[in-house]
Amino acid sequence: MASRSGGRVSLVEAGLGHRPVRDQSASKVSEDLRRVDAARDGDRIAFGCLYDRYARMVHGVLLAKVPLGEVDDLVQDVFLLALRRLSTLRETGCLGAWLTAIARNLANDYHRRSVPEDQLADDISEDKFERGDPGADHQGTAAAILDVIKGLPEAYRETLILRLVEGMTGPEIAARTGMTHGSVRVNLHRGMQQLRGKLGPGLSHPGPGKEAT
Amino acid sequence: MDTGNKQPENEALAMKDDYLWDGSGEPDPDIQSLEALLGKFRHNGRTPVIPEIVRGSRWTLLSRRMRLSRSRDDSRCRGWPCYRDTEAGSRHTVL
Repeated sequence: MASRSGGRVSLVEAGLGHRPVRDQSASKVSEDLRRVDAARDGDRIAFGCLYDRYARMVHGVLLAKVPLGEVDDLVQDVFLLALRRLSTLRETGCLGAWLTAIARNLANDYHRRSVPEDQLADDISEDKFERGDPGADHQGTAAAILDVIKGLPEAYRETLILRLVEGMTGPEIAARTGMTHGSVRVNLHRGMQQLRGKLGPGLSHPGPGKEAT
Repeated sequence: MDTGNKQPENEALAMKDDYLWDGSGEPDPDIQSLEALLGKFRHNGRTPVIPEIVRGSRWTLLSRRMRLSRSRDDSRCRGWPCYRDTEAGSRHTVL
């Protein structure tokens, strides 16, 4: 359980910081079960802990599908919806997969409302990356690489974003999303293979005007 | 899209990606470079103020309140949940 210090809840103890989590022990799963039960009974701290535990995963899933500027609001929407529907969650052990499904659905809803604008934004930044625009700054390069990842097949893009952007390890991705270790591992491998192919050689030795490639 | 992992040859290849898998093994400079670049897009780690958990028609109002609380408290909370225990059993007060 998260500990309290000075009236605040320490989330680091619950594995909620940005440091990698190496594995998902049974105790973590049972903690989730307790927190879901507590949240159902109206315990907001318990729900806050669930938020902290799964927010990075939800953020990554959304980032794979919607523009960066929309992700934070949609993360809130996912958890608001989850909070509202928590009583309908039958298998509390599947919380991660449930939240992932909500995130994907909300991302799809977002696209049903605003496809043309997204397409335009994606086209612009990918074009900038491919031309090695000398005016592209560090942030622009990162955004362009992110867009290349977002051009990969969904399973690869989602898994790669969770690993490279959110800093989650493979075991953590598996634990949070409900995927098998084998699937995550293969998705990471194949996704990285495709990403290397798109970005070309010298990824770690950037040249002038294309520092990330 | 791979969801079932039925191809042993691909799995064998994937097994070599220890650094990609869990950060162990020999660091891959390409992946480290990507991590450094893309890490700036990571979730900010801030926990919003969780609204009172109730069901029914008040939901819309509470959703709005949660958003407002989040923006109002951003500068004050610095990414930490703003809870304060009260003596009244398991009830908590939102700061």
